[in-house]
Amino acid sequence: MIEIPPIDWSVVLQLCIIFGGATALLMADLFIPEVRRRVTGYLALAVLAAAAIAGVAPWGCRGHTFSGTIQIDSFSLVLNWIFMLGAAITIVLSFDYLPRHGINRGEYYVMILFAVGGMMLLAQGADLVVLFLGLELLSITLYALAGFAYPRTTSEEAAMKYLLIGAFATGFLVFGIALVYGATGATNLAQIGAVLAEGRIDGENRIYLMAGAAMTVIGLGYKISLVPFHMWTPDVYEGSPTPITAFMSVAGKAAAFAGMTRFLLTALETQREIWVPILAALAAITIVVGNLGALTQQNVKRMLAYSSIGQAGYILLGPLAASERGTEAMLYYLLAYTLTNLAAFGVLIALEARGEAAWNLSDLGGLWQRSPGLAIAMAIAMLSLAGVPPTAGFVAKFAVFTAAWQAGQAVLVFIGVIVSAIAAFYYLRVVAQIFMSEPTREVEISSDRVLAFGIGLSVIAIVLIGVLPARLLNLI
Amino acid sequence: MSDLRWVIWLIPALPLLGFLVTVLLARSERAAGLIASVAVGLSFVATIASIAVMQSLPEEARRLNIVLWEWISVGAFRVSFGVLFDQLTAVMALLITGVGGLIHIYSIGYMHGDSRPVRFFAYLNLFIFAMLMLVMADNLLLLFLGWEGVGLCSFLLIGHYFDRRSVAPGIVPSEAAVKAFVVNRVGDAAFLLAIILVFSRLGSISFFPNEALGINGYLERAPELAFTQVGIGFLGSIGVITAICLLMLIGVTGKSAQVPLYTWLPDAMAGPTPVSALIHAATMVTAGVYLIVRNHTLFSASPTAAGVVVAIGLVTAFLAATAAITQFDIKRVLAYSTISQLGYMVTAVGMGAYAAGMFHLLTHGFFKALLFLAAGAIIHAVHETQDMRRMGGLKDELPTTFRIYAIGALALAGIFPFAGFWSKDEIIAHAWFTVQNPGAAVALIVTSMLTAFYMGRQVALIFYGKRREPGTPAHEPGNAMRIPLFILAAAAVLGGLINLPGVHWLSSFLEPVIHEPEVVYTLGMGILATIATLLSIGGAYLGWWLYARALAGRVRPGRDDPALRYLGDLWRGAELGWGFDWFYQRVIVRPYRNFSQTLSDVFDRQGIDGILVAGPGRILGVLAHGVRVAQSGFVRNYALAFLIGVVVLVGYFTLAGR
Repeated sequence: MIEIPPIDWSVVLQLCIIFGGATALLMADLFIPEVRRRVTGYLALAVLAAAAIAGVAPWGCRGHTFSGTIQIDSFSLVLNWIFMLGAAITIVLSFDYLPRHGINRGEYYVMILFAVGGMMLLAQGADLVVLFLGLELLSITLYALAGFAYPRTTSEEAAMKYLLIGAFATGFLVFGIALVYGATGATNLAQIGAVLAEGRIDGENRIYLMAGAAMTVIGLGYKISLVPFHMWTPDVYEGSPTPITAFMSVAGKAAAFAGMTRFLLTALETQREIWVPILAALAAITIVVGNLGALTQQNVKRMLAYSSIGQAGYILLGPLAASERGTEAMLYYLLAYTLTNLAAFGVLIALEARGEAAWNLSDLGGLWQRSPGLAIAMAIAMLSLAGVPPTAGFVAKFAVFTAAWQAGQAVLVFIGVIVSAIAAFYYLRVVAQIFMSEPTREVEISSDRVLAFGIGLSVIAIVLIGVLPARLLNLI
Repeated sequence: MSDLRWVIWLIPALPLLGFLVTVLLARSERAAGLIASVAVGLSFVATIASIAVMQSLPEEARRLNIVLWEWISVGAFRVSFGVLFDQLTAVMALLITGVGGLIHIYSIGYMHGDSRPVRFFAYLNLFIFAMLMLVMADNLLLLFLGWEGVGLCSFLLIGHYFDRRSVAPGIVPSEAAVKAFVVNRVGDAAFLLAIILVFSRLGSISFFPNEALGINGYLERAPELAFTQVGIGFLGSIGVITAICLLMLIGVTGKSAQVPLYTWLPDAMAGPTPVSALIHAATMVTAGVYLIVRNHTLFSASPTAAGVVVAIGLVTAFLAATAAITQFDIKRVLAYSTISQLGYMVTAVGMGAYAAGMFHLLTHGFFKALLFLAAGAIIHAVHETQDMRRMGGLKDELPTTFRIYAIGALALAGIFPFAGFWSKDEIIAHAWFTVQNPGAAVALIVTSMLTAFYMGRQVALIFYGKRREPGTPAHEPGNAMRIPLFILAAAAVLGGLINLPGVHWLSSFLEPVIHEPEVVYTLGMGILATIATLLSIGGAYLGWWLYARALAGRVRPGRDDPALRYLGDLWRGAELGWGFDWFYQRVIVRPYRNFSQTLSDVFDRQGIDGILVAGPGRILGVLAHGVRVAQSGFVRNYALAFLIGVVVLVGYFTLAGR
C-alpha cells in the first residue's frame, strides 16, 4: 500500500482557489451570453481577489508540502500578489479591447487564470519538476493567448514563433533537469544545494551537473528574454493582442524571474563564483541590446518590447547581487515594472479604439490636446520606465543598483547607469511627441470607464510607491 | 494702538496680493487696472495707518521691527525675514505707494487699448511690492531681494513693447530691457560683495539688533571698525568701512543711474511712459539714495568714501544736465534730467545732508512723476510722437497740459516758490555753508542753471511757435489721466511745505534715524538762494528765448539742433551722453560678443555638440541599426542565435565548473 504523506492545504490554498476557480469559470462561461461576457471577467477578478485575500493569513509563515515540492514563504507570497495584480489589471484593460477586436470569448479570462496558476507554481516551486510544470502551464496558456486574435495573421504569427522557440527552449530545460537529476540524484532544489555544498560530486558527474544547470538557466532565461534568447520577444509582443503583450511582459517575466531566483539562490548557491560572472555579462549585454533596439523604433509597441528586454537586464541585477537586499530590490522592481508597463500598454489599448493598430510614434502626437488624462498617464509611465523620480521606476533602479554595487558589481552598475541615460532618449521622445507635436492622423480614443480606471489605478500606484517606497520595501 | 503693529505687514502684502490676483484672475483690461490700483491704494492707506501706529508709541520705541520667521540660520549667519518700519521707511513707503498709486490710476487711461494690459498691471504691482520690500527690509539680504526684484520688474516693464522693432530712433525695447538688466548686474555684484564684507567683518547683516532673536545690528558697530584695514591683494590695504561703502556705491551707481553706470536709464525710456514715471523717476532709482541714507553711519565713518560719493554725484549731475540740453526726444530729456537730479541727491547724502537729500528725493518724486505723466499725455495727444522737433505750438491746443507741464518745469528748474526751489537750495546751502565747499556749491548752481535752461528749451520746443508737423489736431487727456496730474501738480507746487525753513517738519521727523543737527538759517543763505534762483530764472528764460524766438525758425523735423553750429563737437559729445555708451560698446560689449561667438562656434558647436553629443548619438544609431538588422523575423535565425547562446553558456559552465 502506498503511503500518502500528509498534505498541508494552507500552503497550496491560493493555488487551489485559482485552479478551482478557473475550472469552475470555464463551465460557468457556457451559461453566460456573449453580450454579457464581461461577467466572466468580473468573476475572474473575484477569483483573483479571493486568492489574494487567501495570501494574507499565511503572511510571515514558512512551510512546504507535497513532500517538500511546494513551499510558501514571503518571497512567493509577494510574487503571487504581483502576478494577481498584473492579471487583474490585464483583465480590466481587456474589457473594452476584446469586443472591439471581435474576440470576446470567455476562455480568455480562464486562460489568464490558468497562467496565473502556472506562475504561482514557479514562485512556490521547491522542486525542478514543479518549476517545469509551472513554466509549461504558463507557456502553453500564453501560446494560446498570443494567438487569441486568430483571424489576424500577425497574432497567428506571434503564437507560432512563440511556440517554436518555446518548444526549443523547453527541450533544453527538460534535458537540463534530467542531467541535474542524473548527477545529483535529486530534483529538489534544497537537496541539490546540499549535495553541492558537501562537495560530493566530482569528475564526470560534475560536468553533467554543470551542463544541466546551464541548460536550466537557459530554459528560464528564454522566458525573461535574456540575450541571446530574446529574439522572439519583439515579434511576439508586437503580434499578440495588446493586453496579452502587457500580461506577458510583466507577469510572465516576473514568474520566470521567480523560478530563476529560486534555482540560482537555492540550488546553485554555493557555485556563485561560476554563475555570477557569466550572468553579469549576459545582463550587461541584455541591457545594451534591449535599449539599443528600442532606440530607433518608430513603433511604440515594438519599442516597449525592446524596452522590456532592457528592463529584464536591470531586474537581473537583483538576483545577481545574491543577497537579501538584491532579492528585495528585484521584487520591488518587478512590482514597479508591472504597474508601469501595464499603464503604458493601457494607453496603447485606448488608442486602438477602432480595432486597428495605432502604435506609431506619430499617432501619439498631440495626445495632450486630445486626451490630457491619457497623455499624463503615458508621460508618467515613460518617466517611470526611464527611471525619473518621483516615479516607482526611479526607486526600482536605485534599489537594484545599490544592491549590485554592494555585491561588487561596479562595472555592471556603470553600464546600467550609462545605458539608462541613453534609454531616456527614446522614452522622452514619446513624452515630447505627446506634448509638443501635432497629430498626423485622426486616431479615435476609447472612452471606456473601466479602461480609464485601470490605467489611472496603475499611474497612481506608480507615483505612490515612487514617493513612499520605504514602507513597501520594509514590507517585502 | 500698539497691537495694530501687524498693519505694517499689509503694506508690502497688499501689492503682492494684487499681483497674484491680477495674474490669476484678471482677464480684462478694466479688471486688471482696477485690481492693481485698489491694491496700491490700500497699501497707501496701510502706510498712513502704520505711521499713526508708530506715532502713538513713545518716542524711543518708534522703530517697529516685525519678524515673520527666521529666514536663514547657518552657524553665525542668521537672517530674519522681517520688516522694519521707522521714520525713513515711512517717508519712502509714502512716496512709493502715494505716487505709485497715482501712476496706477493714470495707467488705466494711458494703457487703454494696449494689447497686454493684464501683464502690465501685474508687473506694476509686483514692482511696488519689490520696492516696498527694499525699503522695509530689516537686513541687507532682504533688501537685496527687493533690490533684485525692482531690477527684474524694470526689465519686464521696459520690455513691455518687446514685439516692437523700435519706439524711438535707435531704441529697441527688448534690447533696452536687457541693457538695463545687465548694467544693473554690474552694480548688483558689487553690492553683493559689500553684503558679504559686512557680514564677515561686522558679524551681522541686520541693520538693528533684534533682542528676541538675539541677532546683532551692524550699523551701530561701524565706528568701532573705523581704523581696521582689509587687504586687497597687491594693491595694499584699505579701510574696511571704506571698502564696504565703495562697493555699495558701485551698487548705487547702477541702480540710481550714476556715472559710470547710468547708460541704461536713457534707453529705459523704451518702456511705457507710466513705467518711466514710476520706476525711472519716482521710485526705483531712488533706491541707491535710500541705501546710502540707511547706511549713513558707515558713510559718516569713512570720509574717503563720502568724498567719492560727492564727486560721483557732482560729475553725474553736471554731465547729465549738459546731455539733457541736447536731446530732442521728450522722454530722453527727462531721463537725463532724472540722472542729473539723482546726482544732486547723491551729492547731498555724500555731504552728510541726509535730510536735504531725502527732501529732494521726495519733491523730485512729485515733479518728475508729474513731468513724465504730462509728457505721456503730450505723446498721446500728438499720436505717439516723442520727437520734440515734430511738435511745437501745442500751447493753444493743450492748454491744461501746458499749465501742468509748466508747473513741473518750474519746480524742476528750482524757481521760487515751487517744490524744487526749497529742496535744491537746501542742498546748495549745505554745500556752501555747512561743509564749506564753495566748489561743490558752484558746480551745483551751474547745474541748476543748466537744468533751468533745458526745461526752458523743452517748454519752448513743445508748446511755443508753430506746429512743425501739421497733422490731426491734438486732444487733451481723459479723466483717469487728468486727475493724477492735478494731484501731482498740487504736490509740485506745495511740496516745499513739508520742509520749509523754520518749520522743518521732514527734518525733525527724520531726526531719530539720521541724527542730523538742525540747520541754522543765516542771511547769507538767503542771499545765496536769491542768486541761485535769479541764475535759474535767467537760464530758463534763455532757453525759452533761444528756442521760442531766436532759433525757432531753424528747428525742423529730422534736422540737427541749430546750436550745433556754434558749439560743434562739444554739442555732439553731450548729445551722445559723453561717450560712455560708445566706450562700453567698443571696449566691453563687442569684444565680449566676439569672444562668446568664438566659444559658441569652436568650442560648443564643434567640440561639445559635434564630438561629444552628436558623436555617441551617431555611434548608437549605427549599433541600433545592427540590432534591428539582426532581428530578421525568421525563426530559424532566432534559433541559431539561441543555439550559439546555449553553446557558450553550457561551455562556460562545464569548463568553469570542472
